[in-house]
Amino acid sequence: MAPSSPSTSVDDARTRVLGPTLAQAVREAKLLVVGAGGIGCELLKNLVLTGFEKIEVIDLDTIDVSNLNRQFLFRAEHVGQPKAVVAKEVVLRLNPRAAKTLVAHHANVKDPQFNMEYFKQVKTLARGNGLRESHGGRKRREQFTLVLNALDNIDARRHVNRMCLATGKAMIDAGTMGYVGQVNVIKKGEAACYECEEKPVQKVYPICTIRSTPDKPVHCVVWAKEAYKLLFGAADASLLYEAPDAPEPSLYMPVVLARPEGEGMEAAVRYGFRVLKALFYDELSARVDRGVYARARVAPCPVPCLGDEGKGEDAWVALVEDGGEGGGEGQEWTREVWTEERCVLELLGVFAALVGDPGRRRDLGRYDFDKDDALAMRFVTAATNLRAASFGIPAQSYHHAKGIAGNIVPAIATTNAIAAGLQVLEALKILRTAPPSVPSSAPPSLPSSTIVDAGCRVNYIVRTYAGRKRLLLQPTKLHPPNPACFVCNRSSLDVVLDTEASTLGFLVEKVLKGSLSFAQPTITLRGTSIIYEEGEDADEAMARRNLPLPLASLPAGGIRDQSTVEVDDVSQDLTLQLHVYHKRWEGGPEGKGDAEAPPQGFLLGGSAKEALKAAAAAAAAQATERQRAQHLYAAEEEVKSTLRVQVNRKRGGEAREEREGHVKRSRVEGRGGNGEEDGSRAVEVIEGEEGKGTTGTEGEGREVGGMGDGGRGAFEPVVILD
Amino acid sequence: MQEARVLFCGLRALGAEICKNVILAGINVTLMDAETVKPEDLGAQFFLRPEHVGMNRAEACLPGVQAMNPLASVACHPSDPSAYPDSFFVDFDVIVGTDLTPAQMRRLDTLARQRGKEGGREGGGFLCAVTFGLHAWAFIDLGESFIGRMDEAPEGGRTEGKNGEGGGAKPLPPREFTLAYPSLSDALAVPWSALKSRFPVPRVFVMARLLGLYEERHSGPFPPNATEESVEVFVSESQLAMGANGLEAGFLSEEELRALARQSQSELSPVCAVVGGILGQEILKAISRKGEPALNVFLWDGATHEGRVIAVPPPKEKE
Repeated sequence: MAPSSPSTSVDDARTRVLGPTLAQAVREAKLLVVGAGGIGCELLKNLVLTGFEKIEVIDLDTIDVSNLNRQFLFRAEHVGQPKAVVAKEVVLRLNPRAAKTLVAHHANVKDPQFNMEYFKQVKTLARGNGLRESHGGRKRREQFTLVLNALDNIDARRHVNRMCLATGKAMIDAGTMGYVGQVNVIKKGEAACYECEEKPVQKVYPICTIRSTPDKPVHCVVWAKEAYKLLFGAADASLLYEAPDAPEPSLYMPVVLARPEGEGMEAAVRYGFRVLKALFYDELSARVDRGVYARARVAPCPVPCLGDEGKGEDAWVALVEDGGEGGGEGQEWTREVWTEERCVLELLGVFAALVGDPGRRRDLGRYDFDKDDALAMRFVTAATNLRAASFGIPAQSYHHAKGIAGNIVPAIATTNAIAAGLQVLEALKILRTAPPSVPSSAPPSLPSSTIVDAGCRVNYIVRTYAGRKRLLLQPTKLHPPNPACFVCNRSSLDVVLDTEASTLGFLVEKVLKGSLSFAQPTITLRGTSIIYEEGEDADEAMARRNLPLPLASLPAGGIRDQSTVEVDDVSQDLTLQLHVYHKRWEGGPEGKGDAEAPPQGFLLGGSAKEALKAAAAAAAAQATERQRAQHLYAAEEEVKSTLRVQVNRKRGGEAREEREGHVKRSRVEGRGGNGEEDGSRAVEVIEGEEGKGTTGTEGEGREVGGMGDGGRGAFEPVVILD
Repeated sequence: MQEARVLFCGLRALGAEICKNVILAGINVTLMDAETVKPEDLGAQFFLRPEHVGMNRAEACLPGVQAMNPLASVACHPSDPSAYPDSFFVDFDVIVGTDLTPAQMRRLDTLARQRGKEGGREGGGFLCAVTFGLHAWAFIDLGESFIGRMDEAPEGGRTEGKNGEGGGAKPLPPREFTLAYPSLSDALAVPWSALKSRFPVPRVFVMARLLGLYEERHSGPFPPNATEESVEVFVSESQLAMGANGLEAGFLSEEELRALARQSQSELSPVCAVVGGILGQEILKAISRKGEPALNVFLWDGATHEGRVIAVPPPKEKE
C-alpha cells in the first residue's frame, strides 16, 4: 500500500481540491433535492461528502424491498419507512455537522406547501405550518441556491421545472434509462428548460404495481416476463421469487419449486397446470381473502377456467394432448386476441415444450427472455392476458404484447451513480462563479447570468464508446431556450380534437393535466369568461356543471374549431394560449377504425398543420410490419441519434457526417403526447436493453435480506431520457 | 455472475464507490487494505464513520459492504498484497487496485494475465484507477484475448437502417468479438507523444503519469501537505519527464503542475462517484462478457467533463 499521508482534517482535504472560496460556498449553499430514490440516494451521499450541509429533500415514496439493490442507503430494516427521512438519517452519519440543516419532507413536491414561496424561501413561515422538521420556523428562511432533480417521472420534473423558471432558480436535472443518462442544467432565459425539447413517452413501472395492483397492459407484461424468469430462467432473480423462509409466502412458490413429478409430456403439462392454477387462481383468491384489495376500486377476479369451476386438470391435459397447443407461428402478423382458454392452452404448450422435452429441460433455469423467441413470447402474451383478465385490463394480441415487451428498460445502479456525481460537479461549477456572499453566513445568491458563465454542460452518459472521440461521458454546450416552448417562452400550442364529442373533463384531465402537466388549470374563453377553475376559492359548482359537457356546448359560446382558450395555472406561474382545431375521426373521439386517429383522442403540437401531417406520417409508418420493426431500436441508439441531431443543429456542416445511418424517427405526437401502453401505436417505440437486463448482470443485486421479494430484476420507475 | 469474485486492493473513496456498484450487482467481493482509518478518510468514503478511526480500513468497511447485499460473500484481508503468494490471486475474476504502489500494480497485472493464459476464456482481469483532484485515470487489462458478445440491438438497428428495403426484420444475433489488451508494463512504456492522434495528447493521461513517475522515484506518492520546495521538485522533474516523452516543456504549465501536486492525494466524492460508476460498469461487462469493455485506458477530465477511452499503446493502423 501507499504510505499514509499525515493526518489532516476532512475539511482540509476538501479545501485542497475545491480551494478555500469554493469550500466555503459549498458549506453555505442551500440546496433543494427533489427525490430520494435511485439517483437521490447517490446524490445525497455525494453532496454530504462534498461538504454541503444545508439540504432539504422531498420524496413521496416509502421504501420497498425492491429498492434495496440500487438505493444503497436503504437496508431491509427500513422497508416501509419514508425514503426522504431514512436517506436523511443515513447520510447524516457521514457528516453529523449537518444535523440541524438537513431537512426531510415525506411529501409530494406538487403539494401546495411547496409553492413558489417555498421555492423562493423568502416568506416568514410560522411554526407548525406543516413542514416537518422545518428549522428556525419563525425566522426568515434562507433562499435555495440551487435545485437538484432526482426524479423518476416526467410529470414531477415538469412541475419542478416550472417552479424553478417562475422563481429564477437554477436547476440541475438528472435522468437515466438503462445504461444511458443525462444531466442537464437549466435556468430561465439562459438555457433550454426541461420542456423545450419534446420528451419520449414515459414508462413508469412501480414495483408494487407490478406485483399487486396492475392497471395497464404494460404492468401485466412486466409481470409475465418475471413469471417466465421464475419458471424457466434464473428463478431467484425474478421479481416474483420468494425465499423459502419468507414471511407470508405466496401460494405459488412451493408449487413452482416442486418441479414436475417424473419425465415426459404429461408430467410437464400437469406441473404446468398446477403452476398456472397457483399463479392465476389460488394466490389471487388468497390475496382477496386476506383483504389485500379491500380498499381497491375493483377487486381482482381469479381466472375462472383455472379454478374449481373450470374443467379441471385432467381435462386440460387431454386438451393439450389432442393438439390444443396453439403455437406462436404467424402470430407476429395477426392482431388476434386470445381467449382465456386459448391462453391457458398456450401456456400449457410452453410447459410441454420446455419442461416436457428432455433436451430443453436440461436448460431450465438458464432461459433468458427474448422477444424474438416465439416460445417465450407465447408464454408472455398468454400470461399477460390471464393477468390482465383478472384485473379488468384489456387483453393484447401477440403482436402488441411483443411491442410492449421490447420496451421495458431496467434501472441500472451504475448509471444512477454516474448521473448523481455529474450533478454535483455541475453544482460546483455554478458555485465556483458565484460571488462571495455578504454576510458570510447567508447562502450565496447567484447573479443573473450564471450557468453559461460557469461553463455548465449537458452531460450524456452512454454505454459504448463510439465516434471519433470515443467518449463514454459526453459533454455538450447548453442548448439555447426553444422560442416555441410554451413553458419558458410562453409560446402558444395547437390541439386537434373532436370538439363535439370530447368533454371539458377530457380536455382538463387528458390534455392539460395528462399531457401538459398543469397542476391547477383555470380556463378562460374569449378573454373574460372563466369556464373552469381549480384550487382554493374555486367555483366548484361551475366545474361540476361544465366538466361533463362537450367542448362545443360549453357556456360563453363553447370551444369550437379555431377557438383560442387561455389556460392559466397560478401555482406554476404559467399561462398558455391554446388554439383548438376541430376534427372528427371515424368512430368518435377514441378514433377506433381510423388509421390516422391518434390513440389518445387528440393531437397536440406547435401547429395543428404539423400535428395533422405528423399523424398521417404515423399512420403511414404503421402500414408495413417491416417499418414497425425498424422502430425497435435500442434506447441508446435512439438517444445517441437524438443527441447528434441536437448537437448538429448547431454544428451545421458536420451534421451529415455524424448521423452515421442511424434512423431518427420524428416525434409525431408533438409535445407531451402520451401513448404509453400501446406498443405499436405509441409514437416512441423504444426498445429496452432487455437482453442485458435479464441476465442479472447489471444493477441487479441478489435477493436482499430474506424478505422474500426478489431484489433484482426490479423495474423501478424508469424515466425516459429527455 | 454469482460465482464471480472481485478483489479490491485499497478502500479509499474510489475503491469504495466501485465496490458498492459491484456488490449491488450481486458479485462476491474481497476487501484488502493494510491501512488504518484516518480522520481525512471520512471525507469521501461512505462506508466509514467517525467511530472507525484507528481500525483497519478493510475491516471497518466490511459490515457496510456486507449490508448492501446480505447474500453475496464478502471476505476481508487487513493486509497488503505483498503479504500473499502469487497463488492467492488466482481465485479472482477481476482485481481492482485503487491504492497500489507502482510495483504492486505491475505484479498484480502480471498475475492476472498469467491466469488469463492458463484459464483461457475465463481469464482474469486487472483494473487500476486513481483520482487526483477533479481528474481521474483508469487502466484496464482483460488479458491477451478477451472474448465477449456485443450488445445486440444497435447492430440489428444499424443494418436495418442502411439497407432500407433489403434484409429481414429480425435483429442480427449478437456478434462475438475478441480484444487483445496490452500489459501494464507495455502501456506505461509508450512515449506520451505517441498518443497524439486526431486529438492532442490527453492532458489527464500526462498528469496521471507524472504523479505515477513521482511515486516511483520517491518511493511514495506526492504528500498532500508537502512543502513549497517539494512542489518545485515535482514541477521541475515533471518538466523533464514531459520532455523525455516528446512533449514540449510547457505542455502543462508550471501553475498547472503545482495545482496537480497539491491535489494529488485528494479524493472528491462526486469525481469518485462518476469514475466508480463507469468502472463498476466495465467490471460487469468484463465478468458477464456482454457489451464491449473499454480498451484500455479511461480518462476523466474534470475540467471539460469528457470521459474518454484511449488505447495505449495506440492502434497501429489509423482508422
